[in-house]
Amino acid sequence: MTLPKLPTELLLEVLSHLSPLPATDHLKTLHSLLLTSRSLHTLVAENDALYRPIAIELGYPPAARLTDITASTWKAAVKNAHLWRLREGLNKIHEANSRPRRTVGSIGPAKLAVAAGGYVVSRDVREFTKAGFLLRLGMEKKGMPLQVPGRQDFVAPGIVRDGYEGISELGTGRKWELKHREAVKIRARGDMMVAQLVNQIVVGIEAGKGEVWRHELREGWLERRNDWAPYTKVHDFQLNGSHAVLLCGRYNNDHFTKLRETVFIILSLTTGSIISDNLIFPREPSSSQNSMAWTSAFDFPFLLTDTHIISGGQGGELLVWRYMANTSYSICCKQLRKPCVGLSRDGRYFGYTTHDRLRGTLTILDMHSGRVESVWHDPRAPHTDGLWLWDGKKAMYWTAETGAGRTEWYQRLYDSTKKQIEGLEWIFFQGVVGLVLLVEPTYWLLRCIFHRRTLKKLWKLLDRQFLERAVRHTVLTAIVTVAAHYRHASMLGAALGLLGFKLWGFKTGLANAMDKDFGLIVLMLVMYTKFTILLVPAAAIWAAAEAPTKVLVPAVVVGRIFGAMMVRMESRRTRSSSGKGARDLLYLVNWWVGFWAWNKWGKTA
Amino acid sequence: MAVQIKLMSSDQAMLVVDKEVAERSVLIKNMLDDIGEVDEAIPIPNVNEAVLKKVIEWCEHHKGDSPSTNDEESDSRKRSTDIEEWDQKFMQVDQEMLFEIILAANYLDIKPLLDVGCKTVANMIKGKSPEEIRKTFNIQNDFTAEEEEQIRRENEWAEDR
Repeated sequence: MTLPKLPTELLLEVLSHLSPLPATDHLKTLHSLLLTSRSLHTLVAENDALYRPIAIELGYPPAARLTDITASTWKAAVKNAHLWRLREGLNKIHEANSRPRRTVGSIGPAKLAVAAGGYVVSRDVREFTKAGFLLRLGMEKKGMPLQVPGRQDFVAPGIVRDGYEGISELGTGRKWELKHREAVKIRARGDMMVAQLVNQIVVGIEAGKGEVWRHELREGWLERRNDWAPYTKVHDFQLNGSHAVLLCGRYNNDHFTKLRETVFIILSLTTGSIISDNLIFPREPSSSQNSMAWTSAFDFPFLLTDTHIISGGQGGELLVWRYMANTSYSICCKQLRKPCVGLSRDGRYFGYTTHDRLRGTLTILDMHSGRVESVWHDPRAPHTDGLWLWDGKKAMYWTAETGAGRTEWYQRLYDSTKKQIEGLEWIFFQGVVGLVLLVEPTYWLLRCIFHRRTLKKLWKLLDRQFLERAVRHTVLTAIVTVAAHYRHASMLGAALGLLGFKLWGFKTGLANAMDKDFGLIVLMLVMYTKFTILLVPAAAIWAAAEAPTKVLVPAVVVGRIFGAMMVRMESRRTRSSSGKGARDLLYLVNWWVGFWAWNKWGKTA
Repeated sequence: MAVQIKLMSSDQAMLVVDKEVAERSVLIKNMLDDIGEVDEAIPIPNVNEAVLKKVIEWCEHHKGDSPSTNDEESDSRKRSTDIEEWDQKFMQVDQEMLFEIILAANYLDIKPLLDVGCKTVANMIKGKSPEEIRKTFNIQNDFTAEEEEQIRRENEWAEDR
């Protein structure tokens, strides 16, 4: 009789007596056992009750796996525990502050799909027919009967039904014969349905014809030289028009306890033949700063287009695969456990949400160019569960934090005209007001505001869709102008008024760049004191308040130079009126340098 | 005079013990409660003579102990790593015997003895590296070379400290 031969319940009883140890020592001992032999490895890894209390005590979330905790350096483990605690705390704070807008029932995001005409429908057909709901452009209605315009489109994103057996109709009018075999997961595309059966069997079934191909993922299913991970397990699969893409883990034993390799396997949808089995996930995160070795590949369903796959990766990275070219690249080096990802309906744009401090960030990428198309911040949305992009112009995310659920809409994306206006607005606000306010005599500011070209740009801002923001900025500008022009008036009072206005804007949802404007208030106060030496640190505060304003500091320098030149010209103007045109030109250059810098760097920052 | 009962080990050895001592085993106690007085030997088919003697020795030493019944007490036992001095000496046996005692305590349902055995093994595991655990319990390293290499990488965290 030896230790590994003790019955499992007695081994667990022995290990339960390790609990008086300090959590760190306890964890270390468990880790040693994990690495002693296969049988002990299985025992420790499969009984998470052994390490879960320790993980919680150390500050890890209850869902953390033992390998998450131990497969990093010890210092990183402790550091991450602190970060997890901090993040949990921040989430709680923000949950308390978040205000649900629209409640549409307790149906989670996994059961939703995008159908034709911008409808969001439940993927679960049975649930949909009984208590379905319909969302269109934010006008949700509960309890609508099944009304899916264009059933093909409804099927297109894929339908998931867990534990389904027997004949499946999936609400499409087609029938696939499963012959009473129990399916773990099924997805359909056109006439083809792919079912993952129990015992790691994957079959392709054609509507009306029956099974046309089958793969039994037994030991050695994938032929590899010196294969040290011969057992394959399908974790998820997706279909497109011509391929079935399987996300597989490869293991050293049929208990699937130790993941050795993660790989995408591309099958022909119609014949089931293996087209590619070489899309192997990188073992290390691409970022050297990211030392976490856990993979998020299985944490959320991967996305599939005709040319690309988007999946999780090592250390929580997001990976974009050009799978027919057998290449991949990382697009996000943050540690994303369960990022919220979505594709536009044409498959061109890809979006993901992250949590940045206390705000949610939606980043949109162009799949063809690989460039960031847009970054959208929402201070009220740090937590998102489901994301859908519509036609590259609208996006919606869904959250079900408390089972109640809410929807939020991201709009005004991809519209280059509007972005230009936004850019003008930004430049007007920061470049003109900010820089002139900083470097010029105050009456110049007043002149600038009433400059005919500035007014033209201001008029453009009064676009109907941007009216609220334009009005807000105009009022802000007026406050600053009056405060600056009547220097004898209390600048402090003006700053406080501005502060109150910003608070009102934030409260009513108009302001989402509060930090930046607080930076402006600091600048006003500094200017009032006339201690110009403080301008540099004040400008730095302003610049640090928002990431894209990294262009602001060089812009301030440029503005300062032009400002000095303009002041000199103004003094000459008293002797000659010929300097007016040159002064106007310098103003324009001043604005457009900032505008050009914003377009070049600000958007991708 | 104390009532005595006979126990038959798996290797057909007969041992006579006081009923009070034998009833430290919940299994035997329940059996005696069910069948009443019995003259014949009670078979203990999963425990051999040597192990049964050791178990009886422990039971005789602890026959005056109050039986613990509630879970709270059981938890508090687990939270303590302390083992009484007599129990420590009692458990100074070879590993084969130690595991047999644990198995017998589990079979006979003698919770305090099971705890002592498990604590003893847990103390042998605490603070040891994988290699030391293998050496202590004579466990064969059945990981492949590739797995071992990965294990070495994963084990760096513990060496950091």
